[in-house]
Formats: sequence, C-alpha cells, structure tokens
Amino acid sequence: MAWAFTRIGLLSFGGGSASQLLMRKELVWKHGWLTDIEYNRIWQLSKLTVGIQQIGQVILYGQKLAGRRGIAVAVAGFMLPSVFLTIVMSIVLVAVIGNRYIEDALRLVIPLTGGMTMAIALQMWSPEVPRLPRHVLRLVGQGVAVLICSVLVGVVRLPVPLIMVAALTLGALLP
Amino acid sequence: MIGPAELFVLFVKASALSFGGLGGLPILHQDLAARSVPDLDRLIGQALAVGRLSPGPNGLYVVSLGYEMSGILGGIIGGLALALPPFVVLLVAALYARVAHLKRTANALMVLSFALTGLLGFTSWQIMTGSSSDVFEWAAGIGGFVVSARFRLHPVWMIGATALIGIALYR
Repeated sequence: MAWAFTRIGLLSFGGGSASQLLMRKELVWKHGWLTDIEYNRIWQLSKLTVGIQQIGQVILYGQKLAGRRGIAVAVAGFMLPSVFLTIVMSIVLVAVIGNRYIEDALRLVIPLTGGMTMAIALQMWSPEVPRLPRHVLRLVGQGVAVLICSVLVGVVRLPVPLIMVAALTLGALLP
Repeated sequence: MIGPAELFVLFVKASALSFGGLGGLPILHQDLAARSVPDLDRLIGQALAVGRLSPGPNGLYVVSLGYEMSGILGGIIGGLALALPPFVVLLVAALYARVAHLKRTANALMVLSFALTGLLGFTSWQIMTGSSSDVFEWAAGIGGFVVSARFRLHPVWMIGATALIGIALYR
C-alpha cells in the first residue's frame, strides 16, 4: 500500500486529473483493492472535505483498505515524497534568485502563474454556455455573485472566511 | 517577521476554511498582507510556480511558501498544515448519509463555488497586476489564463516556455 500511494504521489504531475487516473489505475485496475463503484463513492464523498480533496480521498481509501494503519500509510506515502521534492525545488529556486537569467525568467513566470490561477478559479465555477433565455439570466446571476464576492474581498475588504460562510448559509437558504 | 508557529496556524486556517488545493489562497493572501509581509505577490507567484512544477496534489505551493518564509522547517510546516484539515473527511463520511440527499446541501455547495471563483479570481488578479509593469508581463498573465482555460496544456511546458521567453526578451 505504501509503495502504491508513493507512486501515486510521485507520478501525478499536473494536478487533479493526473492523480485521479493514477489512483484508479493503482487501486482498482492494477491491485483490485477497490471496485469502480467503491472508488467513485469515496471520490464523491471526498469532495465535501475541507482543504485538499485528494488528501481526503487518500484518507478514506486508506481507512477502507486497512483502518487507522491504512490511513497513516496512505497519507504518508502520498504526501511525504511530494513535500520533499517541493522543498528541494524551493531550495534550488531560492539559491538561484538574484541570478540575472532567473530574474528575467521570473518576470514573466510570476504573472503567468497569476493567469493560470485565474483559470482554475473559472473552472471552479464552470459556467455553462446558455441555450435558452432563462439560462442567460441564470448565468448573469451567477456572474453577479462571483463579482460581488470579488468586490467584498477586494474593495470592502471583508475577511475571506466570513464571505465563504455567508455564501454557504445563503445557498442553504435558497428554495 | 512571522514565526514558524504563527505560520503553521495561518496555513492550517487557510486550508481548514477552504475547499480545493488553491481555495485557501485568498485567505492566506489576506492574512499575510495584513502582517505586511514584504514582496508578498512575488513570493506567492514563485511558490505557485514551484507548486505547479511539483508532483502530488494541487496546493503544494504552501510548502514552497513555507520554505521561502521560514526555511526547511517552514516547508515541513506547510506540508503538515496541508495534511491535517482533510481528516475532517472522516467526520463528513459519518454524517454524509444524513445530508447528501438534501437540496440545501447542493445549493450551499453551488453558491460556495461562485464565492470561491470570485475570491480566487481576485487574488490571482492581484498577483498579475502586482507583478506586471510592461506589456510582455501582462501578455504572460493573460496568456496563462487563456491557455490554461482553453487548452489544458501541462503546467511544466507553460512555465518552461515562458521562462525561456523571459530570458530571451530581457537579456
């Protein structure tokens, strides 16, 4: 189990979709530890956890496979190599900062990461292309909600957790 | 100057009050800005780049940011702070059957996704505007948004190509 989760953590370059594919490959197709139905049920459940969803997913798979020891092995296997590599890459980056070429590269890379993060923000919303007039209205309503949250944090400077709790409460009160 | 203990609390807070790898970024940005961390947008931009290049889950930028702010201990703190909050899923799994079928649950999560888009959108806008002073830097930010949203190109290629363009343009 430890080696399977270490492989998942180490080989999942590119974020969520790569991790999902690797996890399904290791746990369902290769080892047969879970059925597709069990895998999908835990995947859906993990979307409700706070923080990084994939870690929640790994916790539940570990629990399903070997109880508490399974949780410890799965989380350690999934996280430790990735955290180690990230620290090594950070050490290298900090060591070369100040180098003229690195500074030139970072001048474009930093705004690029801002743009990439904005694309991820859009994917969280995943607006649908409207087909009927009422769909246009719904899309506009969603856009206004997104804009209001931006204004609340950027202009009004409300604390972010407060905005998130208000959004959850408002959503729960909707008919 | 933020000490390791305070950094740990801020990282855990951002992770525990958010959904998804980058969901905590607006909270963390706001908390660090309130503590007047110098050159914050640049630090976060660098950490995001390392996080996108690393294997593993989204959100490892916190590990890199921890290293930038507090050395190896900061990196370890970042990893620990990411790993702890998702344990809530064990509680969620126990309660899920009671609330999963409720329309209120679906509505609450839907409105939260709009809020997260607005919050993360604003934070990423701050990173773009804070690091862009000429037309090429703006083009890199806008290009990063368009290519990521439209083509799903692997981040390693995008960051590598952009770094080479930067070296060629500014040398």
